[in-house]
Amino acid sequence: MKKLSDQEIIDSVKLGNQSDYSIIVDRYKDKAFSLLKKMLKNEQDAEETLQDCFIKAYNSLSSFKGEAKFSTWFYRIVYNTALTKLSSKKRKTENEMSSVDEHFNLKSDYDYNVSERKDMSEFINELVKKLPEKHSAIINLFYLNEMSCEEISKVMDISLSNVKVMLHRSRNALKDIIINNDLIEELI
Amino acid sequence: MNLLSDEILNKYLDGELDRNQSSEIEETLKKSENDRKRFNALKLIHKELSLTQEDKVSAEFTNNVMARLSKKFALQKQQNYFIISIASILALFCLGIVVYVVITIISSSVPQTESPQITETVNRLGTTLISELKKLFSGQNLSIIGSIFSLSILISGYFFFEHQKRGKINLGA
Repeated sequence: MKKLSDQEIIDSVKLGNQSDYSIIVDRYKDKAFSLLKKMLKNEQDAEETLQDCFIKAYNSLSSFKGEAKFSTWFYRIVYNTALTKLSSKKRKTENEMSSVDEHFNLKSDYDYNVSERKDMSEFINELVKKLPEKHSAIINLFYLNEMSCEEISKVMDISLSNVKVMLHRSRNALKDIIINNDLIEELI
Repeated sequence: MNLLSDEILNKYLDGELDRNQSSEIEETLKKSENDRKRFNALKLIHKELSLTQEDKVSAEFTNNVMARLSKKFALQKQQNYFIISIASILALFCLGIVVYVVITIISSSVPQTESPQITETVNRLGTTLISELKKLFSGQNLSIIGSIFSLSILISGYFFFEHQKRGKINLGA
């Protein structure tokens, strides 16, 4: 059966076929959930916030003109909702530059134990969870959602160079842990 | 000692360098064990992150979202009915006033060509109706009607906002 494009589904929903929206929900729920889980660092909050995001996206469908990809538009809603949720939890909200300049030190709060390690992927994901929200969001959008840096810059509303700086900085932080703990030989 | 910066290694990993720059990096990586170790670590992270599996939401997630949307539609429908009924009452009220004005105009300018009997009947009816309406809309009565009208708008507004508030709470639940 032919897979309907996002635009075709949205057109159908706009014509009054409300139930077609469930196709969009099914298509994006897991990836968006992964992004929220990494940003909010709490599964329950992530699921509740994701429900709000889908409702919000539905209410704003009339403003979606199809100029950008639906995924970019939707992830922008998800990302901004996560930031609002974080700020409402009185967490620190940074502006674009402060997040780029942000110095984080994974080594200090990282306690590696070879015997507890289940697998490499899980191990690296644990490290990603320790990154600041915006950095883990970039890692998630780049690797899991396979977005280009240009698309990520549109989602996060920051410049392309800042996306690259944050992506490189996140990878370097992970790399330093692996090298400093002499894990490269074990992990390869 | 590091011969290559982290930035260059990241750019090489992302394929952002041209052929000449890439060849230089490859040469350096062959010579420098330290840089090779750093690059291998980056490559490993890149590979592992590319294989990351997405997290799964609960099985009922889609149904919950669609249920919330259905609630929202039901609420919107109720609100629309409420608005339509209030608008109808106000429209009837306004129609009454318009009819009154029209009758006044007709009765004051009945054409002379009409037969005297019809003219007389229309005039009689018109005069009676107008005198009744004049009574209704004059002096103290007019203030009472105005007050009733304003009160009905206030009560409708109150119920409308209460209804909306309850709806929002239900949607949030």
